[in-house]
Amino acid sequence: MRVDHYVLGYRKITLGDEDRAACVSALLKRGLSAKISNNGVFAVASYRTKKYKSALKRYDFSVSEIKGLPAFFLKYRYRYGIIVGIMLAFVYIFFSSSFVWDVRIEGNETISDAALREELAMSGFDVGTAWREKELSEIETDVLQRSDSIGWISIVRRGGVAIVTLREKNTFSESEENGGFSNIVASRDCVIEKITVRRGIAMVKAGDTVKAGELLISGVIPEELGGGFVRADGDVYALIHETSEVTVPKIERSPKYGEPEKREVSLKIFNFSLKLFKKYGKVANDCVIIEDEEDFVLFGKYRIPFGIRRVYASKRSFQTREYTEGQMVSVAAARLKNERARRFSSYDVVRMQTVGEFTADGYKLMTNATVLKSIGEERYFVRQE
Amino acid sequence: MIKKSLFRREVGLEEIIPGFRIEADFRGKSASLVISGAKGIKEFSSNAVIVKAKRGGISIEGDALSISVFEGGSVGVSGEIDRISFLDARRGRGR
Repeated sequence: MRVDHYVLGYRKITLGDEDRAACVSALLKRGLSAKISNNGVFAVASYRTKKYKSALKRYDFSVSEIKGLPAFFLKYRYRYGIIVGIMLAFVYIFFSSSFVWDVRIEGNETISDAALREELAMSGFDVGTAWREKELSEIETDVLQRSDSIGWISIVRRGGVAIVTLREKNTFSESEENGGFSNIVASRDCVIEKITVRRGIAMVKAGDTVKAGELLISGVIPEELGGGFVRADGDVYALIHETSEVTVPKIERSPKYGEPEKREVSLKIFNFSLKLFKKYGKVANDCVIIEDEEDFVLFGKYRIPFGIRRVYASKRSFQTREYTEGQMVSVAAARLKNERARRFSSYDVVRMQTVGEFTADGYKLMTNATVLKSIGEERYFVRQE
Repeated sequence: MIKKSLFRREVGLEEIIPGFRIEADFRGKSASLVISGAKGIKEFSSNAVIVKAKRGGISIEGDALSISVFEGGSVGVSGEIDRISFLDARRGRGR
């Protein structure tokens, strides 16, 4: 079916079974084009129907009612909402192409998408920004000037989406510019437990006591081993004592939040906000405002510039609770468990001792742990000529 | 006396009269071809189409055949085409 037929309207002509071949011959002789299906039906633009009727007047055929968009508008001519809706949709499509629909980031390794979006937003470029508002090259320059970790950035417009491609600065290559040589030194006072050297010369051994800043692996190769400079590489571990403690007071005052009450719901379209619901009235002073923004995502991947913003108010009150001795111990144990998990989960714990004591106003629980921790710190140096 | 009509006789393309040209496009089982210089349609059903030319014709047999008529005397036939044969009218004139 041709698009112009839909737009301008068309009629379907059905040829009679008996005269089908003769009808086609008649159209051929008159120079009228038609695409006739195997059941003898073809579509004709409504404004050309007369010519076809005249060519086929000697034969058996039937003509349908007008179809396509004119038929649609004719049918719904009194339903003004449809017409207004279509017009608004066209206006919306026209205006929406002027704004950034999504920002897609490529080429980042250590910088997160969120951090880069924030950088771009600081330069005035985000979802909902008008394309003509600022030159893309200006934004690129602005981001490059502000960021220490981005070496190169390019923003390309693809339809309504901004494709941001970047190259991060390579810290190693930067150090190479300064010679590329380094030592590994101790980050704190400790006793060395284990040392593994991949490149460079070990300056300490297991069991040695070192002070912060003391050389552990040297990047300077002595003359008897060939001489020269390298970038020192290796792992140095030491046993470190760490303490973690929690105190649970006998009488504890803690905040309690009531059921969140919906105050406002708005639809985000680009940078605009359309309020769908708002509860008027003053929010009490002791209420906490919770804002929840949810962006719509297509196929779990592509962010689109629409979203829902909800605002809740939750009443905050304080409750005073008095613990018994047994409760204080169990609450402290649970809190210390979380604290230990947070602090020691990334280390190898060699030894751990937990002691608790009742104080004048509560209970204190403390863990003394000995952990195996990497204490090597790389320091670059420049070769003096 | 033999009536003037189209007789089924296999002929080579070189024997087809000038201006009688066929362009075919095959897509899987279905095919479409355009015949230039057509003078009329002798038969049209979903299984067979016979296109008349100045001094002969072409018969297309198959399934789900449809016809397109173009300005300038070209006729397109598309569908599952099984057999195309050229028909010669000269025997009808007693040659």
